[in-house]
Amino acid sequence: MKPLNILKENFAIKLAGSISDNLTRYKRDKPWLAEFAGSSSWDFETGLVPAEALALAMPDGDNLKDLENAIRMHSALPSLTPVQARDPRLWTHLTHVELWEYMRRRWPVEKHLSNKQRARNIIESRYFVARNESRALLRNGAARLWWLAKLSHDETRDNPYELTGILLSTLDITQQILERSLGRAPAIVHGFLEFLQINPELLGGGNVSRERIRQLAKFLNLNGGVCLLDCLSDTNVIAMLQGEYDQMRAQGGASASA
Amino acid sequence: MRLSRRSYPHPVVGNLDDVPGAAFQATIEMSVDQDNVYIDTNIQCSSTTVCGLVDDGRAAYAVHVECTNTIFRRAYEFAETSKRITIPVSQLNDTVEVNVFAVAMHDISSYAVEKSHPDYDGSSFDIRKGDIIAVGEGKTFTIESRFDALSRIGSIMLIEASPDDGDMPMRIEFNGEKIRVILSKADFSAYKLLRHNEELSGILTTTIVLPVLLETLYYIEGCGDDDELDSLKWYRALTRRIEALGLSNESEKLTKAQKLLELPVKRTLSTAQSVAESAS
Repeated sequence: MKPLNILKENFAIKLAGSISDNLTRYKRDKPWLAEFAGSSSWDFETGLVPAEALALAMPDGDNLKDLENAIRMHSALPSLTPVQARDPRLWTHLTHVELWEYMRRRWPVEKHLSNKQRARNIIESRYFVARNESRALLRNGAARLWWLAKLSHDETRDNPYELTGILLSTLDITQQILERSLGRAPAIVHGFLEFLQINPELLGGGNVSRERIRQLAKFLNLNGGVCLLDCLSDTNVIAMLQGEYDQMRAQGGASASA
Repeated sequence: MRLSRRSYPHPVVGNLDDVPGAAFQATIEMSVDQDNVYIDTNIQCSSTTVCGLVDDGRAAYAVHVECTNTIFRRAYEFAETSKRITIPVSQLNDTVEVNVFAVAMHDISSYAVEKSHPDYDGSSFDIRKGDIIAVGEGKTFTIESRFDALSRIGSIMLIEASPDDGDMPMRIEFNGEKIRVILSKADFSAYKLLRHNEELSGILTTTIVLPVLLETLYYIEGCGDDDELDSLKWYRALTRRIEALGLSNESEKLTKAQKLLELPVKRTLSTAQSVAESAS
């Protein structure tokens, strides 16, 4: 298997600063970084060798294939360290070169071109790692797949990606859990996802379920103010959430006291 | 986890005046080698209640480490008052927040703290596993770990063409991850042609990088103790380089810049001499 290439830092900065100039290039069928770089050298080979081919399934209409692709991405790069996996040069290379066709299908820019600012924002968040914070990693079209699988992967289960399926079952779960500070703690994330698995009616969509998930995430967050949640096991987290949820249901509403 | 002083539902040693008769303090030091980050903590706790609970295993000290950059968040629990936490360097990058606590490891009923504020007299509380019972002052560190270490001084600079037409002097901008050096379009084209020529790289260093670095050293001095400099990657890399070369006490900026660039004037003159000799 061929080692991965990443962008040279200066080129990555230049590319990120040229989104407006390159807007129409983001409509092309083929990658164009070599043309944009001209005679300059723009990437280099790392020592990272994928465990298997980095081939993502193409989204098909409403079937975005996020779960399948998260598993493929994580399986291809299982030993990526967090420091490597947060490097914008890696993900920007993947979104613009190896995964270009996938990115064009998953995050096509055409439908936003009538509003250039919107188009720039989409490109910045999906094709680049825009800011030095975890939320930006969860927005990049390639990085998000790896991180969503990584944060929910549980080697002790028969299917290590069982919780990834729950995480990706509705977009709201990802936002409510992973985009909060508590989303960085593995036991809390795993506990929350397993709690949702035990209470599958919460995964059914609809405003009531969505509001209940939001209230439960808020409840956990509030408890994090007095309790060091990281010291709890996933079983403890499940018990806390179940107690709150039972109370919520008994009151017949979305919320209960935190 | 950013901690602010807050009102807990029970008295917490080290928080505001919850327990004026007892203290919870921790010194936190961090060091890094090629493989690991080491966090050394020394805890001083004068609360007999908290120390007693830790001694009998119903509570523990906990070091909480969080790095938003690498989506890392973990608590390390222990009973000793001195502890070294070892974390692979591949797990942390940029800002790392470290906080020290004492936490309940089991549910504790009828919890009361000796020497707590008179407002708590006669009150007791039901503490749940994980609840914070003592809190120390946290500390924030910065770690740089990348695929490739920033080694050459030139790699803290980014040389670019100006978007404006016409001849103009070189400009410098300091507010990004790298120092941006902006050349006129014509100068930038010439620079692009020459930069891969090994023989001429010394001349480029003297012509472009040396004055930029000199200006940078004056810029840093002008900023004084401005904390915002610490948020700039080029500044942190340059500071490390200055420290590594033992140049922290060098007050002459022109001397310091030349030493940082490994005597570029000498290299330039030597190159020019070779070029002149080969041409004659």
